[in-house]
Amino acid sequence: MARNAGQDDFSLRPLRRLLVVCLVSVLFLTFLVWRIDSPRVERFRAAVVDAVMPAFATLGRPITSLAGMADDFQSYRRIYEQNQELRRELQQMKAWREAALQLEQENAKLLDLNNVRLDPKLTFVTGVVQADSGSPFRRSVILNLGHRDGIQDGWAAMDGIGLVGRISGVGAQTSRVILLTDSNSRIPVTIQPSGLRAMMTGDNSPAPYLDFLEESDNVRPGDRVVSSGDGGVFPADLLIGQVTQSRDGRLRIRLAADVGHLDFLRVLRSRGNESIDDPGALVVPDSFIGPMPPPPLVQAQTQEAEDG
Amino acid sequence: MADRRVAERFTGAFLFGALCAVLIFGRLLPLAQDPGRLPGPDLMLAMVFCWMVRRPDQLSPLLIGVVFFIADLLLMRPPGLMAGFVVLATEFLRSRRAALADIPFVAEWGIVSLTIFVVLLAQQTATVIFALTPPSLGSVLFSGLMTSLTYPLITGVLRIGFGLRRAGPAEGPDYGGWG
Repeated sequence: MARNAGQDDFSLRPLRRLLVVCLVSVLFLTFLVWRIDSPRVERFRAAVVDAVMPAFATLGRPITSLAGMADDFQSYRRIYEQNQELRRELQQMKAWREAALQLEQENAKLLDLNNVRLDPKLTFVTGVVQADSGSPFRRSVILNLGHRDGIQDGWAAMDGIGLVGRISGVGAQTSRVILLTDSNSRIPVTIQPSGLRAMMTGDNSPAPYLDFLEESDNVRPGDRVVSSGDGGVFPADLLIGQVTQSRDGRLRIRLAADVGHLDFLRVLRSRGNESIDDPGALVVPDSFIGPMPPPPLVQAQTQEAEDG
Repeated sequence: MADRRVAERFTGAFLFGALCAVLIFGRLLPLAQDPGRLPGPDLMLAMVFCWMVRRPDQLSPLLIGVVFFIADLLLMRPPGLMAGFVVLATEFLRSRRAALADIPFVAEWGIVSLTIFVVLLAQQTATVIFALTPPSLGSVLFSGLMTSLTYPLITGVLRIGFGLRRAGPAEGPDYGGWG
């Protein structure tokens, strides 16, 4: 009992208690500062991630590749079914390829006829996924691209097919991609045949839902969803996925990208949409010397009249 | 005597830090990215409570605070929030360690589970109050349930693998058998 009393005496020493209170206050204060001035603390976070990631990548590589091997090995077990499936799909794809070729020719002809100027192709940098967010409530991955590769906040990241997320947080050698499925992700989208605008909102489920959709009657499952570029922070016309309807009747998007298995991501270099801020000037020929400078003349005359 | 005691404390603290690093490392590995899976247990949380009940002398609040702050930074949580609550919870367990020393494991499990839920719900409440996007309450509760269910497992692993057990009454005040 004497021992217990001694221990309690130790833990309740006022100085010690004061230090614990200080520590907890510092921690909560950090949270508060983060809430008020998020970018500064996030930069600090990016620096920490940047410092940790190189060691992590080296250590993590063997484990990730082992897990990949185990995955591949599992897929051997159902190789026959896979083969059948692939044959079937190939059959369908051949038909589609034919259709696509015809459409491409037709499209080229029409573009030529109309003399359309398309957007210059977006260039991209490809990076390797090094780590994921590690939290069940956050969906993000870390790429091995950073400032030194010219990455900037807000750029779009795609896998081979569709949009995956956007850059949020850039270190010197690493950057974080917030995936479309994260509950903080909001992307303005266009739904294809109808041209309706909406907001794609992530909620930690595999399929983000459509928000702020005005005429949901005109949207049906199967419609294509592409990014709209509204707000000027995100490139337009990137494929995102297809509309589906979940069991609760909500319109959701089945992503074209395979968000479950991300290895390589391409980050699109976008330079922002050019905006037109000039209201437009009066168009006059150069040789026109008409009653253009009358106001000063009139003023001079009135001045003379006053003097005289 | 004093030398051995100090050395033991440092070994314990170092081991705790290393295990936390391994756990963070394991969670960051890009193996399972499927969204929409149910959240798994928070092993770090279970481990720190288990350790605190067994050997409170080896874990200083500063160590816990720093380790969980780094975890907050790396795991994209609001920095400092979880760390603050975990320090408070471990201090609570530390102040009750005289009572915790003599109770059966089931009772300890109950108290620790309660503490886990309090920490997670406090974090959830803070997220709601500060108008961040909180995870759904159901998934947080499920994560707490998983964490408290894995608590006996963690205790077993720490006991068998690292010889972590309570300081026996015969071995003096603040240090005990390491194994």
